[in-house]
Amino acid sequence: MLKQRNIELLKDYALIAPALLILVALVIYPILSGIYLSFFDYNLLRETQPYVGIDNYIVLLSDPRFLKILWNTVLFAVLANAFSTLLGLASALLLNSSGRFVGLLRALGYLPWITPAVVFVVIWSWMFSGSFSPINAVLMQWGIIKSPISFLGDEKMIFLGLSLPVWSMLVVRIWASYAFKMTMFLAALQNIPQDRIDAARVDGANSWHVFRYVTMPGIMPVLLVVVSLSMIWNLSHFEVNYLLTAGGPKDLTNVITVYLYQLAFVQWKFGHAAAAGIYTLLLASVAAIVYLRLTRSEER
Amino acid sequence: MQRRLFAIVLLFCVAAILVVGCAPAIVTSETGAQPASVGSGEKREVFFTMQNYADFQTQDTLLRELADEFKAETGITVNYEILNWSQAREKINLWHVSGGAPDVADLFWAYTYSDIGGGKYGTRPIEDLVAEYIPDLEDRFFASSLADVKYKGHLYGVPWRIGIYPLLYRADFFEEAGLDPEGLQTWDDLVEYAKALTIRDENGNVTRYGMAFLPDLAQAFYSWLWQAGGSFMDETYTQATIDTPAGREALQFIYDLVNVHQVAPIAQFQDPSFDVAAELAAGHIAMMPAANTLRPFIEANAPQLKEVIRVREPLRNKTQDAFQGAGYFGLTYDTRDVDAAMQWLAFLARDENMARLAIQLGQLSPNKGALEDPYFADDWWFSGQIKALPYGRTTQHPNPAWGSITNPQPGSPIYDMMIEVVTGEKSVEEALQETNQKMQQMMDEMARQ
Repeated sequence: MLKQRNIELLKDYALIAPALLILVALVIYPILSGIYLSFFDYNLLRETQPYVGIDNYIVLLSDPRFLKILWNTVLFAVLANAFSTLLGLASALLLNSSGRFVGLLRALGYLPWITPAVVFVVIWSWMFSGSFSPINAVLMQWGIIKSPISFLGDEKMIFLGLSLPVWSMLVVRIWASYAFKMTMFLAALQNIPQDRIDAARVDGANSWHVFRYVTMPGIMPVLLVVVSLSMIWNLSHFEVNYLLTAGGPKDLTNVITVYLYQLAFVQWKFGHAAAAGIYTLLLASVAAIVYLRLTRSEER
Repeated sequence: MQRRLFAIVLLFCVAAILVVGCAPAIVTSETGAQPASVGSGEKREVFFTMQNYADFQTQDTLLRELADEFKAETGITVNYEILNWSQAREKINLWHVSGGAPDVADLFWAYTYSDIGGGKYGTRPIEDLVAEYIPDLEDRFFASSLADVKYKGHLYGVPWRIGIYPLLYRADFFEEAGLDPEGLQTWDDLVEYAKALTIRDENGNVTRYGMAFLPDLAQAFYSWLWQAGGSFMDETYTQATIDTPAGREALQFIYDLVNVHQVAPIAQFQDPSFDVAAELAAGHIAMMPAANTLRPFIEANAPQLKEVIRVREPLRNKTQDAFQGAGYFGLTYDTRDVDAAMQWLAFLARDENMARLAIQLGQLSPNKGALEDPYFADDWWFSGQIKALPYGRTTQHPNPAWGSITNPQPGSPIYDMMIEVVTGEKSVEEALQETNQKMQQMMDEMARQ
């Protein structure tokens, strides 16, 4: 009996082995390799790569530039996640109806998620350009501004404690990530039984009450998972920051993933880059733990 | 029990990865002879990579034609891939660190990469092979371009493109402002001309700048430093030498153009979305160094400007040096069939093929025979560049840290220095001192082998 069970188990594991193999090759091995690399003063241009223990980690933590970038990473992750969640939720609520063009609007709303970053970053870069921005053209035409705004360059223009390049970057990050959330929320909203909403209405609930006491509890499990998953992605986000500004101006929009790329491929300090990568991993792990706990509690 | 089985499967997977990862590399032939695996009856192939220069279709068609002609002559198949420049630097870095390079590649920075590869990976010396396959190379190519592919007594490839960045100007703007192009010779002249060419609207916004800098802000410093009589390194290429009166003069001049005379756009140093080629095409810039990347951009996006853009010799201060760099085709330590690769290299190095490559991909050829083609003398861009060739100064520095020092991205000393000074974050003296120290530190680290 036990033998039969073992054979069954072996079969199961044989079936998942290909996926496991890919996981090991593309995820586990690079992580282990990165951890190993982070203990060496690994420089491409040297034959010998001396072991330096945790020096790379200490060097980074004592570097004001890295600390600023670490703060940027968390700031962008939190703000982009918060605003895109609000926007995603608002869009989902608006599109959770049955009208003539709702299907079309849903498809259009989903476009940012399926558009490659390289494509939309080129368009946003043009939108934010000092000389060619249509936003500037309209504002100047209407007499609202006299000089073009440098959306990605004017570090002295501050709103709510954040400079204009940071806000501009946030706009793109929010735009790029809200659509996924909208779709998830929309799916969750459509799973809320209509009779619950009807019952609340019969009990005298207004729209806010329905949203607060019926809709929100109904979509809360999805919201928590989406927010924690988005946090993981946002903490390790690379492409928009790299393609739009490469971290500039003056590191205002730099995040760890871009910085580690620069450490590795500009300065060829692979040991430092690996240590920066491990810090990113640790940051994302916090969000991942939250995510796992939420999904487990959901399963229960 | 389940956990034990899972552990066994996981262990198996790790072992499989390790076995694959540690498999011995393909043994390459170290001589011009065919490797043992290449028998007379076997299909012979060369894998060739090249960065993108013209539009993809043009380049693909040209490479296919060349490969077909080569196959008809030799029976050897050339498989090629066009790499995007945005990924090329990283790919080439990795080839030089861990192998996996093609048989023949479009390369640059021979000095830097030969040191990174350390005689194991990446670009390989081919002087013996060239003596056998292309014996007249020295006669048929300009010495200045060959200097870019020679390092420590070795030859690393055949130069196929040469970039020289003298000065370009808008003839129509000069005419409109009543300026004589011949009167523009020195840095002082430049300031006066740039002031006359800069235009502001009623709100004081600059609608046209007299001057702009190279798109690559690290390279943008080279010519100014050289023309001020300075250099990046000493004659032994082991000491950083930019913290000198010449360095100060050059950096101060750049700062003054932007901030004092206000004839060059500060946005180029502040705004990551600033696109100097687009600004030139839009008529927002009257003069700038003639970077090679501008020519295809104008050809594709603003061909009408070919009538009004002129390329001329560089400005003069203490010297009249202009940026010059050569790209080359080279073999790598991963080259499998060296004989086939050298035949392909010799085929590409023929005068007629050098001319085809240069003309169709919009590059200036370092091949003397190719340059005899009237196309170059008549071309709106190359005619000016040819006149500037005597002022070319190689951008290569035989120090492995050079590539990192001059990378046009944040974190690279020259790039950071330019931004910090022009945006007023640091004084010229402070920035030069720090940059010199950073350069020296990087050079010393690389020297510790």
